[in-house]
Amino acid sequence: MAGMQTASGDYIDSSWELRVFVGEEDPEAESVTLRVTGESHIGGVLLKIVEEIKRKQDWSDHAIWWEQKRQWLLQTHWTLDKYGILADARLFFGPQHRPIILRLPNRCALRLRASFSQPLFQAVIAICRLLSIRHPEELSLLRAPEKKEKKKKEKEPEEEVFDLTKVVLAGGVAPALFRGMPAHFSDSAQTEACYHMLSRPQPPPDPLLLQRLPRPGSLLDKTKLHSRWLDSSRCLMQQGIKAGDTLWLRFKYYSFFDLDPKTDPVRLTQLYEQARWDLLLEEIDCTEEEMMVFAALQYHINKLSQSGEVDEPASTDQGLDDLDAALSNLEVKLEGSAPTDVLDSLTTIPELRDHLRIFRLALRPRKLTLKGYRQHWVVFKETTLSYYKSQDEAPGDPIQQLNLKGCEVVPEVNVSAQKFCIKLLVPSPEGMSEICLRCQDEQQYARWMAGCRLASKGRTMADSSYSSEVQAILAFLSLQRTGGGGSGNHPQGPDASAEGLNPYGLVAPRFQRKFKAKQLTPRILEAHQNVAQLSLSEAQLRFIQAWQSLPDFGISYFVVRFKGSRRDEILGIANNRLIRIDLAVGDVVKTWRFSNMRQWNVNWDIRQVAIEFDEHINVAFSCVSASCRVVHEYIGGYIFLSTRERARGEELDQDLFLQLTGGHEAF
Amino acid sequence: MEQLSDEEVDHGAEEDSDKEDQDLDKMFGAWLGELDKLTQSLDSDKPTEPIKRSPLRQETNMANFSYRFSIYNLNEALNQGETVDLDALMADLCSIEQELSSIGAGNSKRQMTETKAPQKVPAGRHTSKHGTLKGLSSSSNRITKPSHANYSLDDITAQLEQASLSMDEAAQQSVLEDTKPLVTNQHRRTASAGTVSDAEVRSVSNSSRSSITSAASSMDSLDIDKVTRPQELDLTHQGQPITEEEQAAKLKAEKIRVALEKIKEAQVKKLVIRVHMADDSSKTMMVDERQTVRQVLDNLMDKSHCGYSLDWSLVETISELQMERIFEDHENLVENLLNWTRDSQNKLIFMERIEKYALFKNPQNYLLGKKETAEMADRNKEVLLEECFCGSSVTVPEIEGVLWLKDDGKKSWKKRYFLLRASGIYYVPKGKAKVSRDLVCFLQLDHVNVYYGQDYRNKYKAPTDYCLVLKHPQIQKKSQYIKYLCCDDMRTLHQWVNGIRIAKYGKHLYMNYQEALKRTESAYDWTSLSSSSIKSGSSSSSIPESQSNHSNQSDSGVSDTQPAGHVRSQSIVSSIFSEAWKRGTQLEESSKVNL
Repeated sequence: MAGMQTASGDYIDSSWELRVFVGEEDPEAESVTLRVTGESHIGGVLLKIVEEIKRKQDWSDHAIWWEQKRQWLLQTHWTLDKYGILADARLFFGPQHRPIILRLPNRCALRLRASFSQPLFQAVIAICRLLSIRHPEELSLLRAPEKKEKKKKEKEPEEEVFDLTKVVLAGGVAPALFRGMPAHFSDSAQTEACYHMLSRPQPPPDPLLLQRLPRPGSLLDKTKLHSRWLDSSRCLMQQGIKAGDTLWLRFKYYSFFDLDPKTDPVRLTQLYEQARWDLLLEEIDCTEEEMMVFAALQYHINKLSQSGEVDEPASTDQGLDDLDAALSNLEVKLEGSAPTDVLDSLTTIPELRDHLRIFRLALRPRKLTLKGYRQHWVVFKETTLSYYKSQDEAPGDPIQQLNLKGCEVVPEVNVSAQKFCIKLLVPSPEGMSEICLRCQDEQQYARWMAGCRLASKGRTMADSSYSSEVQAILAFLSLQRTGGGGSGNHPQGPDASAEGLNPYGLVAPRFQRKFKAKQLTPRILEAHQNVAQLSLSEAQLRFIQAWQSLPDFGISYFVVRFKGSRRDEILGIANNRLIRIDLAVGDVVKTWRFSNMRQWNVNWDIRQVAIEFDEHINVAFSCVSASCRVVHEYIGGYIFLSTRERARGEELDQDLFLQLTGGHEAF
Repeated sequence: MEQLSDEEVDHGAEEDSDKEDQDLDKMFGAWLGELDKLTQSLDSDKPTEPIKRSPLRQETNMANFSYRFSIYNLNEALNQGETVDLDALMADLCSIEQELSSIGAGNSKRQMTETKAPQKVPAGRHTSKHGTLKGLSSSSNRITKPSHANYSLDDITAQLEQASLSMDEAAQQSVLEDTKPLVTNQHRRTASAGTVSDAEVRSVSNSSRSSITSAASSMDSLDIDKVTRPQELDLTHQGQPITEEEQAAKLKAEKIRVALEKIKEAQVKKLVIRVHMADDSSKTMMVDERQTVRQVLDNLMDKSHCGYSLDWSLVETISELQMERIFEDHENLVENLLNWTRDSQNKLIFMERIEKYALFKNPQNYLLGKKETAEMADRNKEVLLEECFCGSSVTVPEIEGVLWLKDDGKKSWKKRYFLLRASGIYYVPKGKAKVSRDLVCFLQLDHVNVYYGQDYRNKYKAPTDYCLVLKHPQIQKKSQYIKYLCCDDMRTLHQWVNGIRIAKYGKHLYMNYQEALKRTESAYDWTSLSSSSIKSGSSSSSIPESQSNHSNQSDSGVSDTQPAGHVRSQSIVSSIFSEAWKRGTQLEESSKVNL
């Protein structure tokens, strides 16, 4: 043992004194001094430290951090010599897991303990396990952007920080489900609330806030984000992160594997949130039509999540219900107890007859003569709409008869103006007929609208969903009344009616500038019609898919300088290709696909990435906007992700990932 | 024998119907008028165009479209005389009959229904003709019912009513059977099912009607007959639980459920269609509404002994608009055909079309948005296809460029810069940059199909003959709602058409292709098994012929392509990723080396 001394107190072995600070990197921290030799094992040193401190405490998570070398001494069987530690080493004996504040994709803040000693890749795996997000390899952490020092302290509303630091996850087995959530969330009300935050979509942001948040104005701005990615192969400690720092958790690689709403509620929700913020903050561009669909989906998702309709398995099998109803009817019938007139009523499909004002667009809209609305006698039977000059002429030939099957039904409603119109676009062999039905009041509108909607799907008003459809439309109208979605140009505060439709929280700010709220509302409602039947997770999935279908989806931008070129250009990295983009114009200059890639090399000294493709195409560039290891990791990460299909069901091959993305530290 | 007379009864009902029953629903009237005309035209053996005498209502009431089509085509087929493939048609019918009779065979309660039938049809018995008529017309009515999956209450009650009525009808048939012994060989084959109804009904021979129609006319009542026939069988099932009162209620409910399922089966509408072959001949066949284009194609390939190839397609040509479209394999054929007008000159052609799956044979020409054609290694093709179609969402190829757009109602064309996105087709407004936010939506693809225009240089003074058309499938005549686009060259045209197909159908398209591939490969397997002598080279005489159409696939002989096909199917999953794996490790090594 180290510390053998003579009677006079001189040390006669080669031992020397080692000072170890206790705690996190704090120079004022208490310290203990040990007598060690170069032969001492780290494990023995740890033991001695604990003995010296003389405090009863669980020290199991503690390890020694060597400040100068920026390295953890984790190999307990290594000797001090092997590590190369001498008496001047500044060592800190501190916990490996420390609290950090995570900014989740849904922009909520969450405090939890993350490993400061494992490579980030593993730390993220642990975090995702805690949050129950599958496929953690798709996510990573970013440094929070530096806050601009604001001159006047704007009142930053105290936001709620969820806390998961106390939750301990048993190792090994996957967390079991308990009360519909992973068991470790069901411990207390706080953790339960935290799970709801994670697994349920957040309400739309305050439109004013949305306008204040920074948005990328150019491709150049979009590159900034990517300079902040942390290095997956090094630990947080090594990257200068301190306990209590704020980090962003984001989906980094846009290749989402095996997205399953049933097993992935948190992952799906967070992905949806990331997509939503991407769109709202104009990180990704889309057209007006696409924005309306996104807005409608958001509106639908909000409505569902606020009404507390957590995803129940969609067991409402319409067909079965109908079958049951039909069965009971059939039974009655077969018993022979039913007189014939009942029989008739069973076979008769309910119909609507009423006076409606009809506005018909002539077939040539160019030469449109505005005749305005005219009163007609309208009969709606099965899926066919017929109208007559007057009720008396009803038995005769109608002016026009339209089969609504397959037609487009568009609501044109303004509750405050008491305008209830149904616009129908009916296909026929001769073309489309456009016709507008104007109803007198909400009740009439709801009945006819429900009929039209069913008819467009080929169903009649005898369908069991008719009455619920009528109710849904009425409820919808009352929402519009209370929500006041059309009340001019003033975006409402966050305290406005939660259920009402405030279009400004659902679209990117540039649409806020372009359109008035009352222009947006009907368009969103129109788009909503097509998605109104979706369940919460279906709607989220649809949102994500629509996001994925955008042409610019999943491209991470970097400013680079190609070898032999004198000006900066943009390199876009997507899951299957590299794109060279003109910085000024934004046009794609050239695309290389990963499938043609033979190898890539990084010259760390001159910070240059060189890639060789098939047919001896060589590309080399140096990175300007971000470290070239971020670029390197992106490329390697995508290559790694493409191997997943093959290794389906197997454990994540962490070594391979680190090899592909690591660079020189890994070896 | 029974079968034949059965048909004739139906037909007789049609004839008579016109004379009485003015008070029936207008729908029925229309239908009957239709039938009347048909029989007249058949009797006179002259090809009269039914359209000329159809009442106005026919034009507006979509409900009637369903059978118009079949009648028109049938009529045409009949007028052609010898060319009609009666054998094939009858074979179709036979197989259906057998299915049905096997359902009925297990039923031991026939006698009960015999006695039951008259009680249940009080309305029908007042005038038996009336009853038959109703049964008939309501069956036609049912044809138009869009989805049988959604069971509504009146569907079933109406169904039941029809079933009982058709019992009545069957009764007349048994009488007729004796009066009218006109038999051909084909008809005899279908007798199996006929006997069932015969036995049921013989005792109820209260009908005194007889009708005489030519043997030829039996053809057109076939499809109607098909619809009514199953109900007779079903009725016997429904009858069971009622008469046996001692049965437990649960059991009863269960049986009713079974019966309902049978009804569902029986409710399937069937169309007789005429398919033109590439060699100007034609085949008449029956399709049921559940059949996808793929199934019909399989049928046709079996029947025409043309060999298996991916390229066999069903092409819809709309002659009035000079456009055509290859039906996608997953589409429902009947649904599409119901969009045709009654007097439609549209044709359905069975032919090999390379364009159908060219997208998958050489994906690099379609998916990469490049201007020039290129070769690509098979391995990379698969990777490309996987990437495009097998992710959580389908990647729509980035296709953009200047196209000519035809002005509404004029024969002039304007240039515009168009872009394809998953959400539709857009164009860049004048004076704006090509950024997403400024794009103007030209069309969304949900409600339109994409067609190839034919010879628009003459018809519309198009700049080139490479035109594509976007229109709602129901539109059959000139309309401002049809959009015409013209491309500079063939390549651009195909890129756009395929891009639109991807945006519209997504994964379906790839699944169709793989399904088709499986069919052709299994066909190879089968043929190679049967001709066990030499495995390669002689497997099927038709293979080389079809092979020649595989445009760019370089192989020349069968022996080469056959193994290639097998390898491909296996490799799709495994090899790609082992490749990726290899690449990964290579890369890793290389980056190591460079340090």
